[in-house]
Amino acid sequence: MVSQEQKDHVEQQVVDEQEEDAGVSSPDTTPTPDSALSDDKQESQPEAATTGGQQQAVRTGKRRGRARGRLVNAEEVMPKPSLWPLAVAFSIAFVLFGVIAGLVVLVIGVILLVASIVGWILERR
Amino acid sequence: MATSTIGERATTIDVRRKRFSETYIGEWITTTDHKQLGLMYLITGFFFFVVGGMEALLIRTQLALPNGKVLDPDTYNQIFTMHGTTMIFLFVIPVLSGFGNYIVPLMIGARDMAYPRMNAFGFWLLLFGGIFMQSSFLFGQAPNGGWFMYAPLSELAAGHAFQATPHMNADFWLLGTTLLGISSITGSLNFVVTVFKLRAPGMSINRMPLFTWMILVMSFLLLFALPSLTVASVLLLLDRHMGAHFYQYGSGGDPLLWQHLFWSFGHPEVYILILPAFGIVSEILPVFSRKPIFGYTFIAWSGVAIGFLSFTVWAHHMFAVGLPSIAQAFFATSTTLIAIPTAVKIFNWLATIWGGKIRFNAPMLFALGFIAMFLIGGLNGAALAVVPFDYQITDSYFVVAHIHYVLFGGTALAVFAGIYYWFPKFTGKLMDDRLAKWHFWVTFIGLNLTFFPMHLMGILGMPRRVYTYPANLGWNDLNAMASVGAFIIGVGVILFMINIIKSLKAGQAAGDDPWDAYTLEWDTTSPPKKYNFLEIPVVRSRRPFYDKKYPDIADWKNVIKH
Ligand code: HEM
Ligand SMILES: [Cu+2]
Repeated sequence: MVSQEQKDHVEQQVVDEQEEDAGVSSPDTTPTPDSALSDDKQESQPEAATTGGQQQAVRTGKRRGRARGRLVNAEEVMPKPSLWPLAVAFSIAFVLFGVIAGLVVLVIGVILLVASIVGWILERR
Repeated sequence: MATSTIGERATTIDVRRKRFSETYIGEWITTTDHKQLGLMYLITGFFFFVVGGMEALLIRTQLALPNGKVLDPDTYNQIFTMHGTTMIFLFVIPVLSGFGNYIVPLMIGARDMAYPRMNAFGFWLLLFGGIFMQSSFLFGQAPNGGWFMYAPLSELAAGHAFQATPHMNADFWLLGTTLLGISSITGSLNFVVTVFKLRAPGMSINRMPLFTWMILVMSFLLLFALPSLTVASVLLLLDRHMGAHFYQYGSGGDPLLWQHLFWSFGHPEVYILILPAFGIVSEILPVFSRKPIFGYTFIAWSGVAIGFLSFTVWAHHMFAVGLPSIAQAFFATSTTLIAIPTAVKIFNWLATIWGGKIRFNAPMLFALGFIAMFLIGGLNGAALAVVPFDYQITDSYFVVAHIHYVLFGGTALAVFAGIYYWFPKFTGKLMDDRLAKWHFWVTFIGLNLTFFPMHLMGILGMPRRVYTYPANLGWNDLNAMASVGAFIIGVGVILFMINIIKSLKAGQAAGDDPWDAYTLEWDTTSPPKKYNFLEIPVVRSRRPFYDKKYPDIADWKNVIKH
């Protein structure tokens, strides 16, 4: 989802001239409900929009002409933490160390590597 | 359980057990946030800078006096090899990617890098690669064949039962750089996609900040240059462990193959090490001169030109091996050509400062120091491109002088400039400007005292990489000077570290935009929130934040329409 929305920004370069800065940033915007993404967040969003204190609400989404961005919870747009990158990196180092340290280390390294790649792929985002 | 009631009540206000990624350590090791990873890159890079710096001080201690006895010859080989390797692969590249990671998404108005988990992966590979290489000291078998690891010296045996590098020394280097290479490849792919796909609306390629431009060019250089290093390393590993003979003349191989493969990586590499530094300086000079950059298009495209040309000059490192004269002419010409786009940049920077309202804060001082020192490095580089001259001083201390004027006087000064410039963004605090100026002047004096005499040593015939020298060759005073200079640089580094610690603890609050800057990274809080911008900014010129702050005289309203 992240990439989809961010891609939209890039593709929508038309905004340029016609869009008033004030128009975009006016805080009174009511968030446009977006069924696919924000159903479960419905309750929390209006507050997020108005209280302002909750910096978790970020504006995202499409800006066609004067259309306004959609408010979503920051956690939705931002990448999730993950331990797998570290695991895969460690396993690769282990494999290469195996090249000089001998077959046992190499085999353990390969097993670790396969396991951590599978873990990375299967991780739910 | 006694606490259960509290627990039950607490759940209603959402207290649950912290996830691992929410603990302090867990947050760092599972992060996919480009800013946190950027800082981790920077910190790791500086850690290795200190390691490489200690090695340098060992070298200079050994060479301070003739017939030095501090290091034995074999240790000396390991120390200078690891000094070069550490500084290039574990200090400069990580620190520059650290800046890139932290700053580029902010500059282009994005919320993160394109592939956050791959970004984390690149960092961890770098860290493990670095630990892997340095761990060779624990085995007493650190790489010892020079940072370019020439074959056949780096072979197990160079034919005819002649022992070359029978232990694991070279293996650590070959495998370590392979690891670091994978890290750089993932990092570069990430930069390329981020820059091409995630720019804020309105930020066309021609409005991209120059630092972003240079990171982009650097990424392409890494993508195209690294494969030849990896190939070279794999072939050498095959020679060493599987009985192949790629680099063994006696068995039909050719040691020159290593040199060609290495330098067709190695020369683009040196531009990889300098282009982002150009970018940093191109950001700082305009802000501290209160002018837009002069000749944006020229700076951007001369960077691209340097990128292309850097693939055509590699054999200038090999003039002395006996290339055919047509090849020598070609490489001398291409090498001289590359000085042109480089000079274009220098003139643009000078024109940027010209007539500006200059503020001499620490970032500016370092940026100006960069121009002066890099100019010397570029000029003695151009001297090295003259083949007959190169015959005389290749593999002498003259080359060492050249390297250090471009890499220390150039890249390292720019890195310090970048730290002083962006530290307020990283932390919300200002660094102590007075201490920073001390740091600058101490470093500036130290570096010239260390590296300028090396020109003369080279011309007087002192070869590089000798572990000691006799007293009667006229090199004593110059070496003593260089060693004193090295320790002065060391004092500078200590001042810098004191400043960092002091500013982290008790630095003045910086606000979001302490320098009245022009680019988007300043158009958010310091330090920025996880998502960088509440709303993605809209860009109408090359100085979007300037436009926002000064709507009446905004660039897009006036002369500059791009
Ligand atoms: C103005 C453009 C430049 C020219 C004309 C130039 C030319 C040369 C030449 C001809 C050599 C080979 C000397 C020899 O081994 O006999 C050399 C070596 C070297 N240059 Fe440059 N150079 C330039 C810029 C740079 C830059 C920007 C960097 C890095 C930031 C750099 C880093 C190096 C390094 C590290 C070596 C030594 C490699 C080694 O043998 O260990 N040069 N340069
Ligand atoms: Cu070169």
